[in-house]
Amino acid sequence: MNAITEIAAAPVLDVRGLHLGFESNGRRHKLVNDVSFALGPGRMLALVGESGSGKTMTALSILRLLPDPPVRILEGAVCFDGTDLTRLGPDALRGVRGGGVAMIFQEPQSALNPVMSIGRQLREAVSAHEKLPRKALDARVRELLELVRMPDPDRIVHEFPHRLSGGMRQRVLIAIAMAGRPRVLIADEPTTALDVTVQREILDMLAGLQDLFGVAILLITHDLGLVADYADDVAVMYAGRIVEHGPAADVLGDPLHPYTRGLLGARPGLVPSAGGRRPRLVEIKGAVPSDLDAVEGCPFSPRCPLAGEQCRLRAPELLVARDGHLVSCFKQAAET
Amino acid sequence: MSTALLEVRDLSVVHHKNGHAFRAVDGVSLTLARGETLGLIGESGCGKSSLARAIMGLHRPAAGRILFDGADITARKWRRRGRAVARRLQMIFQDPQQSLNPRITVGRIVEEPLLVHGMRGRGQRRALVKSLLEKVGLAPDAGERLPHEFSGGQRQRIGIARALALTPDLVICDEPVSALDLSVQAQVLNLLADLQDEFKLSYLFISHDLSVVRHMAGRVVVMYLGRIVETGPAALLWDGGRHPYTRALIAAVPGGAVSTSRERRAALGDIPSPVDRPRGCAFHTRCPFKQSICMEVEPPLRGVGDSHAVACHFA
Repeated sequence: MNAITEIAAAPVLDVRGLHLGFESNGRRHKLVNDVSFALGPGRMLALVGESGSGKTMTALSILRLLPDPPVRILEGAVCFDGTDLTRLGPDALRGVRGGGVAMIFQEPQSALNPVMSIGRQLREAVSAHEKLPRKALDARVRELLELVRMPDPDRIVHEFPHRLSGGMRQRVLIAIAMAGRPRVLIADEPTTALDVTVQREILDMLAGLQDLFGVAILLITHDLGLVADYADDVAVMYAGRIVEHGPAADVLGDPLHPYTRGLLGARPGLVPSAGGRRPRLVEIKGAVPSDLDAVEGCPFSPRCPLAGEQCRLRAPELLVARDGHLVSCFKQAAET
Repeated sequence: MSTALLEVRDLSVVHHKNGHAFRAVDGVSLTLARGETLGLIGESGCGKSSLARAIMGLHRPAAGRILFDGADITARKWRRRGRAVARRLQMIFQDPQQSLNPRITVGRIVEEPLLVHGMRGRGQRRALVKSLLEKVGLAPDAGERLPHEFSGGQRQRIGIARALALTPDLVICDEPVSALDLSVQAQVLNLLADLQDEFKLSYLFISHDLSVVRHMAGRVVVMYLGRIVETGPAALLWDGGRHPYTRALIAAVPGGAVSTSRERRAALGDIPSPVDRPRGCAFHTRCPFKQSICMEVEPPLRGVGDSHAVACHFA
């Protein structure tokens, strides 16, 4: 597929002006503020951020899996294939879950039923989407296990979750997610609980699904290295907002937002230490604000080395800085 | 060079799981010189934390010896481990949430080791606590607050202040930054580096994160299922690694300098459980280069160059 047709393809998932929040003691607290992104078929968009950035809440809101109450969608639209999921009734939404949009989570242990064999859980997942005679059902289960590159699938169907390693459990969950032939797969930190060598294999496999079926993947992660290796596009979140958004190679190769720059400089072990002296890492001073409503102006301004007067007065908008690369920073806008 | 600050000889630690005994640490030997940072890397189940806990005297080793500054401190006789040794050997834990008592103030947490070790004079102790908290970058009033009032990164600073209270020689850092966000991780790593320079500390730095070990350590030990598979200067984590497992770890670093295309990366499969350790070379079940000898004969750790040793028949 060449670059022009990829861009031209209508997005399969389109999130517009999403605001999430909750109310407590009569006060409204914002968790996610005006988040918009689009995901085309066969593409991988990474939503990166540190804890508290709102990336997981954003992901959960797509299939309306938010802990509601208290967290609610306050404003915005989540369009899957042209249908706004925020307006769907429970039955229609159930059809989309798993069938159109599927999701996998960080902790594969808690997402599997401990007293049901792997085979039975997979058959259940397939049957939820299509009625098949037993033989065809077993064949489909086997096909799914091969799809996720499960070693020894004939033995695995008889096993129970506790007998599998973390990496194998995550493979099972991806197989379950793929049972409904989804067009969008949301992966929320899918490899954070796994060892690095296993992480590689899981992500290679997800990338394979992208190529094979044109599945669009929304990867939620805190790991910029994974973004560099796998994502087509990236949206960097900070304190509930997208602060930078664009093609992954461009954003990571030439970051514009001071926060993205800080994160890239904070990564250790990228260059060998010269003469036995370890290089000093770039620090981002302070910590993520715990109460987003308390921060006036740009949410990053208390930690920003460039922050000036206007940054503390109002929040900058997310604007195009160059081809397909958006940034939300007054200082950056002034430079370009 | 004088005697090593820490020397571990043929150490084994046995754990029990579902009635099966297995060696979490199996015949590990290492030395750590004064002022050095020795990195210990490996994935889950490799025995790195068991080794750390055995050195601290929290596990009783099944075999082997631990020498600290020339004195035998093996946990078989741990009741005889003097306070002098305990003072000089401290630890920073992975989870700053669980390693701090939630019910006492931060000042009291940092003061406690001083009390245990009989430092008289309340005023003197308080002054020391204050300067420690300042040293690790906490606000002057931090001592009066409780641990839950602090963020993860700040709690790790408290843990560091506590470990430093007794001016130790060796600090074992067990995954000190793996629970922290990237921007905070950089702050803590810089702090550990500064404190090392200021107090002439030696670190045994344990992590599953190759990038972090690369950054901190001068020498490294790579463990796999309880044994050392490779050890040498930190450069081996860049491109000098000769064991297929070390090379797989390097290739698995996301966004690393070493880029391999998706197709060329061999799939390794999952790590076997340490409970049923494969025969021969324990890595053979995942090794892309295995030969028949690997399934039968355990390769010994042999020297391949200047303080570089590797346990592989073919490396």
